Amino acid sequence: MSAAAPQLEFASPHAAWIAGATSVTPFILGTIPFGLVTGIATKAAGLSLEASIAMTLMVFAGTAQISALPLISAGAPALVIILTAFIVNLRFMIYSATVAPYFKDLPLRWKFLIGYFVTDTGFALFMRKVADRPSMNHRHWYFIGGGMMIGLVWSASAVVGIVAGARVPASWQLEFAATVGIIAILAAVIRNKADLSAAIIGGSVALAAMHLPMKLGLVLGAVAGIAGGVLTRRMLDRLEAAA
Amino acid sequence: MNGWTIWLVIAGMAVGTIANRAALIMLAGKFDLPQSVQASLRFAPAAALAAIVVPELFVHQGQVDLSLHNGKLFAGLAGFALAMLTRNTTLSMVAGMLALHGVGLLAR
Repeated sequence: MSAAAPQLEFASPHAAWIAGATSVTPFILGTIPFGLVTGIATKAAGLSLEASIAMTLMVFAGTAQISALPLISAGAPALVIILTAFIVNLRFMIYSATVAPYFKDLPLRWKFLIGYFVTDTGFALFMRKVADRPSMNHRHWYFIGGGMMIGLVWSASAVVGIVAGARVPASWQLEFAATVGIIAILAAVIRNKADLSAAIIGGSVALAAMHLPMKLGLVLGAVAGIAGGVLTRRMLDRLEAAA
Repeated sequence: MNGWTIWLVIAGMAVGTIANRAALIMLAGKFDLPQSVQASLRFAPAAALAAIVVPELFVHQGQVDLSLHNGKLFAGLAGFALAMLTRNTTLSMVAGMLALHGVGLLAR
């Protein structure tokens, strides 16, 4: 047997898929209410039932969806909404760059499918699983299992939220749930001083530039925040090296 | 937002999201994202989410409003504080909604 032989973690693709799907179950309890509230907020933002459900199933990204809602309510131009969702989702690009080496020998259609099921939770659990099993067999099935489970639970809860949201009176101001959701996710992604600096600069620039046409202040804020984070990280590293 | 614009937005968001998710996996071995770019992208969520939410909270009826009449500001800050403490998204969303209605009653 060669040194590069895969470790036989799973007896079959099916077993790997089941293991991946069950790996995410502890996180489902958090996914269900987030899906529900996302669904309710989507309907409250003024989207029709069909558009709400289509957005949930086609975009399949909760953070991007709730980020788009206040912009849709405010009548921002389509291109700015699309660009904002793209920037919010840039984290997926880091995830996919990280998992790509594990799937580089698969056919293209498999790679596309794996890409479709890249999720925050699924990514974190996959990386933990393969950390000490870099050549785990059937790992694409394991990855898809986790992503499908999270996706299924999230989509189903969001659709329930959309249908329920259609019955809630406008005076409840449930569209604000999207804004608080963005705030809560923002709090979760701020893990160090450089992240905090990116957020403060991003928010301040967007506020200062709010009168720019077509809500471009938002895009400007996001770009300035990224630059601010990079510069802060560089400065902190230099200070640390000097100390 | 009129009839077909929302479908354009949905399609654009769907294409953008799948590009973010799948492009680098599909290009594996042919193209690698430089480490420096990956390091910069780390800041995208914090920067973009703050850029969306800060004007949303601070601006009321077209201008910066720090008074109690701007219930969103206080509800949002309460939600942020709770999220920092508990790391619980759903709890923070529910608490923020309750705070919005609480401040609304106070400001009457």
